[in-house]
Amino acid sequence: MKARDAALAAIVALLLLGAWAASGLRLGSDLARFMPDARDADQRLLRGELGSGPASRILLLAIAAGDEARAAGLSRELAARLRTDPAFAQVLNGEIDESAMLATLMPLRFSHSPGMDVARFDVDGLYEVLLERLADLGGAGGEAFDTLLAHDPHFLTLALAESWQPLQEPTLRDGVWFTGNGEALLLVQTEAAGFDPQAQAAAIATIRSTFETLAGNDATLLLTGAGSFSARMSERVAAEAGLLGGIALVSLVAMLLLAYRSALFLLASAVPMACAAAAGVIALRLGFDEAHGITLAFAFTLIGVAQDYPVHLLSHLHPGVPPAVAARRLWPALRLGVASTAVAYASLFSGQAEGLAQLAVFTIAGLLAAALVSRYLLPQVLPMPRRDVLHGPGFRRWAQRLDGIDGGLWPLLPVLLLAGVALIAGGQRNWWNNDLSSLTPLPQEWLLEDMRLRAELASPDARHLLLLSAADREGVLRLSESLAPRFDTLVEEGVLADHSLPSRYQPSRQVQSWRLSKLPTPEVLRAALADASEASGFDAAFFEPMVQDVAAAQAPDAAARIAAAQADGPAGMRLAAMFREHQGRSVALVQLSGLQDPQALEAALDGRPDARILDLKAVAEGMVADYRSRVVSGLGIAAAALLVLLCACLRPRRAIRVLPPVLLGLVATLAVLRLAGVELTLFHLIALMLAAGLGMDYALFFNHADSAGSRARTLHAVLISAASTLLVFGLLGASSIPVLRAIGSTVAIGVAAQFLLALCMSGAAQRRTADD
Amino acid sequence: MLSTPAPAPAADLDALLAALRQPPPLSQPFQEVRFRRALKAPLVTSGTLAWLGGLEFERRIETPYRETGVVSGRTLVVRRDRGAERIIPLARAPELQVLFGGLSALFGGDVQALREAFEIELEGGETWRLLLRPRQPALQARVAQLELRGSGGEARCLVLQQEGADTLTVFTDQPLDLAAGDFAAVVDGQCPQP
Repeated sequence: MKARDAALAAIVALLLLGAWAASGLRLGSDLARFMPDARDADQRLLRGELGSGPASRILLLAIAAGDEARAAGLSRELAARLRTDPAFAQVLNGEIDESAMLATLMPLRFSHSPGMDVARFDVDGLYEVLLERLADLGGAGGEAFDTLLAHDPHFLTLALAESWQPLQEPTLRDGVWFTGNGEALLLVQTEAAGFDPQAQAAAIATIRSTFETLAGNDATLLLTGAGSFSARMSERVAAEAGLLGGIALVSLVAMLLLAYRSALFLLASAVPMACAAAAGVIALRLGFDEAHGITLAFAFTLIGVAQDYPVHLLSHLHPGVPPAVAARRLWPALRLGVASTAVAYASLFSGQAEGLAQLAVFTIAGLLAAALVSRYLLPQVLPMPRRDVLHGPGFRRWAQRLDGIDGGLWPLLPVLLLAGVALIAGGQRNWWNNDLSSLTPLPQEWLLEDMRLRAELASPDARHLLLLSAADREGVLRLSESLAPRFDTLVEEGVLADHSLPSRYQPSRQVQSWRLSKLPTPEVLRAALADASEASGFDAAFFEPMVQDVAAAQAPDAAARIAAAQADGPAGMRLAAMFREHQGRSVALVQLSGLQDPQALEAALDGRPDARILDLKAVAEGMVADYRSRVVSGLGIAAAALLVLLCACLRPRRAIRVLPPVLLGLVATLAVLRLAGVELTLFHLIALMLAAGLGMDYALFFNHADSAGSRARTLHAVLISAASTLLVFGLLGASSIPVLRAIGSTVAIGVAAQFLLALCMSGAAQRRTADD
Repeated sequence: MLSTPAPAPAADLDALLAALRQPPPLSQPFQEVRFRRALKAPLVTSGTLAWLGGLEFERRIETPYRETGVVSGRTLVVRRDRGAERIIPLARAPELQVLFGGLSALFGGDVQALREAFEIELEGGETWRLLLRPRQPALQARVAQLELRGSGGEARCLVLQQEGADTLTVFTDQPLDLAAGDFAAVVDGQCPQP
């Protein structure tokens, strides 16, 4: 009894330790962690941009209501409320809050406004400006206008605001943006990164609940953008995985109860899996500071192999054989199975992505724990069996029929035939899907909605970026200033619709100080204003605020105040999003809108090394291809290592009979996928690895069974294992989410193929070996 | 102090709107006076306002400077003797939107459009005062009301008041008498009183 208590205590301790590790595990969801280490500078940049770049933080909102006035009103009210929430960096809906705009831009007008390049401050220049303003008095009035006039008769602030406006703006109705479909359009930038589903879900919930309190039932809100995708996706995955998982669990319990007719056995069969999960989480907690959400999802899929370990043990129990003895008899096969699976999973390290490394660590630790628990702890806990599980209804007849299958090598033929047909039928289709977005495949209709709203906003091209680099930020700004005229010409020629060169938002120090040097002293300005006002009918005293501002611009702390005003304003946000420190140099990632002709732009840049176009799609595809080839070559190495391992542990003759069904099973699965027109992604690779791991176990156990009775028990165990895997993953294959469907269907097909081949080939091999 | 005018009886209002209706093109000389904080004295301009139908206007200012403003649908294009032409979206200039939107509906006799865009009040009989208050909150915040005064079927005065900026437009070619001094007195001196 003592050993039993100790074993129970050890299991409980492991589970508790796992729960403790899980409670402290920080869950990350930065997609970049699942990306491979970058090979070159472009890949490194892309990796940094994924998930945290400014574009990924943009949500697009469209409000549809009965009439446009209502939609416009809702747009204004929603924007006003969201602007007070710190979760949102920016809320744009076409409204211009003139007094706020003036307050943020006015301090920058002398140094930043392009209007300064032609502004004159002598009597004649001021007189001309004041005559212009006199005419303007006919069309405008009000508090804001008077403030602007008193501080800035040259309208430098307006020239600055205009230069920052996107060249293309959506249609304005009732002062706010509208789509062609009559919906009010808003652009919201979150503080949180796009691939932070929790923060995005919270931001989206805030938007929705605010909208609902404002709108009631007579208006609808459409919300798209990277953040909404990640939040909606995880919501949908959770819902579907919950439902399918629930059905799978109930069916699994029913099946195990039917097979073993014992609640205790049912409970026992769950122990190694639970221990595997606990060990995996503990390993992650020890090895990494943060676990990736995708890692956890995949890891729980991959440790599914561990579910088979207790099943083998339970199927081999019968009166007269204590559990510990059964476990000891099974151990050689189990040990080899775990070791070979661990070798296969270790190939995930070759991906050189932290997410995949985490996956390998989790699954290897989990499987080792599950195997050790099944071998040493579980047998201590189980009571001496009182009846034989094989005495189930009709099992023996089934077993005899199945066991009679003596395939020999004949399954080779249909599999090779299938592979040949797949190769021919697959023809031109790509083997691999290199699209980076295939790593987060989204329903098509979401993407279409998003594209429609983006087009209305003329928001930046997501594919091309202009890269400017120099030794420091000042160098980049000067480079940008030298390119600006060329870009303006390109916009006129229709090569692109708009650009956001950094010098548009921050002139170089050179330009800034040249502009400031044009300002007269306050005394000179005051005298000139008096004469010009007298001649034009204005009241000279009205312009005293301007004189004060010019005095402030010449004060010793002016540069610091300009820098602060820029950092706090809309330009500061843009520039912060634009600039990167990269290998000791300063790099600006410049967004381009409506790029029609990348070649023409490339040509205009004249092959200069410090300014070039980055095609993100090409970089991403290269990155995915690199990534995959690393994983594939890792798998190749793993296969070789496996062969060595098997040869070392089994007699070569047996080893040579374990591998073929596994490899053939892989070929058959690949052939079926190819015939179905599937382009392979990382998800398929992981699913194939799981199927191969299971198949390896089936083949090993069939091979290990050395008597008729043992064969029947092995068959019982493998049948239950295969049926339960088929059940769980078959259900997953019915999911509406592409990722889950890919994994589910691939594992289901793979397990079916592996089971049939292992039964046919290993059974035969076993018999022949026994005949030796 | 004027008491708040009572809402117009529908019949009177319809009769007035029918009388104000004009076939395009319509061209009228005007004298305009602007009282502004920034100015030492009120600024008087004169010119002609032409309505070409719908939301199409041409406003020419002849003195003291020359300017042509063409409203066409959603934009105003301003040309002066010097400098490049300026294009101003009406959506960004609430006072112009109220002014030209109101005049277009009045001259066109589009009673329904007028009622949709404005809350309307009418005061008086033979000589009358018509108050148009924009219904759009964004416009209302900037321009509380547009006031028209006239007698019979003829509109004579247009009053637009904003914070620190009062404008009176009188449809006449006779110079205005500004001796009264303050804006309200000038308006009462130049315009029919109900």
